[in-house]
Amino acid sequence: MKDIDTMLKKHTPKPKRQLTPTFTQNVMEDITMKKQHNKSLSIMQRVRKHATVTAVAIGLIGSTAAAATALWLAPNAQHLSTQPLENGNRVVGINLENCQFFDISEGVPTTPSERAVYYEIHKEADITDQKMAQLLKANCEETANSVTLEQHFKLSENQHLYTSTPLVVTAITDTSIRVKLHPVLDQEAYETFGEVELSRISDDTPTYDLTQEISFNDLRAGDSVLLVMQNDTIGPSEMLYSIGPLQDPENTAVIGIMRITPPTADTSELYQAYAQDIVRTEPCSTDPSGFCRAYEFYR
Amino acid sequence: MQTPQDTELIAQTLDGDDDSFAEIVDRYKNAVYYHCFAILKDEASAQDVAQETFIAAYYSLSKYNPKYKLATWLFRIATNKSFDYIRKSKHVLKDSEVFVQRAESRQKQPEQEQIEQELHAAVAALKPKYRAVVSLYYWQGQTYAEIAHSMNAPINSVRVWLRRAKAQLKEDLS
Repeated sequence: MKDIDTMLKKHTPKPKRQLTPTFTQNVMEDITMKKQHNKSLSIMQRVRKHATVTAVAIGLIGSTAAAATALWLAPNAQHLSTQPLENGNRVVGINLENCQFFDISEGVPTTPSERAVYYEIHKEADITDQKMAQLLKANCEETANSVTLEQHFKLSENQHLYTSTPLVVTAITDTSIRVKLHPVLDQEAYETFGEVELSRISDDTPTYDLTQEISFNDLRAGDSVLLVMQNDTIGPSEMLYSIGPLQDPENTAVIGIMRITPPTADTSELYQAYAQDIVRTEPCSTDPSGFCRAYEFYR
Repeated sequence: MQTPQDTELIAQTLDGDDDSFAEIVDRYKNAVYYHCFAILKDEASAQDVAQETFIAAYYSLSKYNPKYKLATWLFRIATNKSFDYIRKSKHVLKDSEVFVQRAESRQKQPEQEQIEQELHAAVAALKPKYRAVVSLYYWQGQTYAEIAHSMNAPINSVRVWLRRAKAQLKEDLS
């Protein structure tokens, strides 16, 4: 018997079949397909949220009194539990308070609500339990902002209005406002535009905070705001969380402002993590782990 | 034109240039495929797992630690994916199948080819963990330290696994 070392070195097992000539192309196509899937998921989540927001807003428009005094209770998200799974992943439970969560509508904004949600986090994902809670809280804040904005301004799709992403006021006068993207947002994802000065504005522009009407003059540099804008040249395709008009300030008029609490995190991180790093899961009895996934990881 | 280093290709990919990642795939696809084949013993499964390896690598590229060679990192992903595949599909050649392969090779092959066939059949009968160590050490030219990183194990465990694998192969082939 020859030395095992020599034999092993000499005889490398070679598969009888070589890789298909299109292997690299297949890998790259798969990557592209998954990217598109990820993007679709993100868009889908936003569309679902917008649909929920619109439905709630319609319900509120009927009551003038409610519209004037409605107070959205501050959303909160707290880490509840972490359960390691056999596959190396973990299920994280987060307790959500006062949150309109995606398509699940619980009561009205003025009523306290509480529910636990669960996510399976992939073992190779960087997301910590704390980060998960932050992203979900930011998601709740985004929904609360959207609902309140629509309530204040009675937005409807045929007005061709745009509402901005969260912005920070860097300077303000009676006739202009300078803003930049909120620093928690992924600047690259929103095609950074630096600071923008919008001068089609006046000191009687309707201005609100999350609970009531305030004066335009109450705004200060450093405030976080959402702008409602009208643009003369851009079509009506984008409605919610748009930056398009901010890239065309000459043709953009600010027709409303809402001061918001500074967002906790960038919700686009949450959307991008879907199916790649996290999947929604629910307690169930049919799986030995005690949780059933709403959809599968694609990694 | 100078061939770009792995680190340049990684930086360009992270910058959004997918063609650079395609070059990485071209550069390492055969090594990854051969390694998966050594563990899985089946061409079709090895190709699938090699493909999954590169897709996972693409999405985790920002986590790559340049302290290790890119090949070492890819072997780490490929090894994990292969083990996952075995766990999921229970795709393991049963001992009886291995013995049939060895018996057939004795009957039909010339001496050199017969030795090779018997050796590969004996390797195929090793535990997946040992197959992975043998593949990385003998056929992919990895050092103990690199194998330890690829398999997420201490260097001493790698030494022990390799010694046990060789002992089993000796016994099997004697």
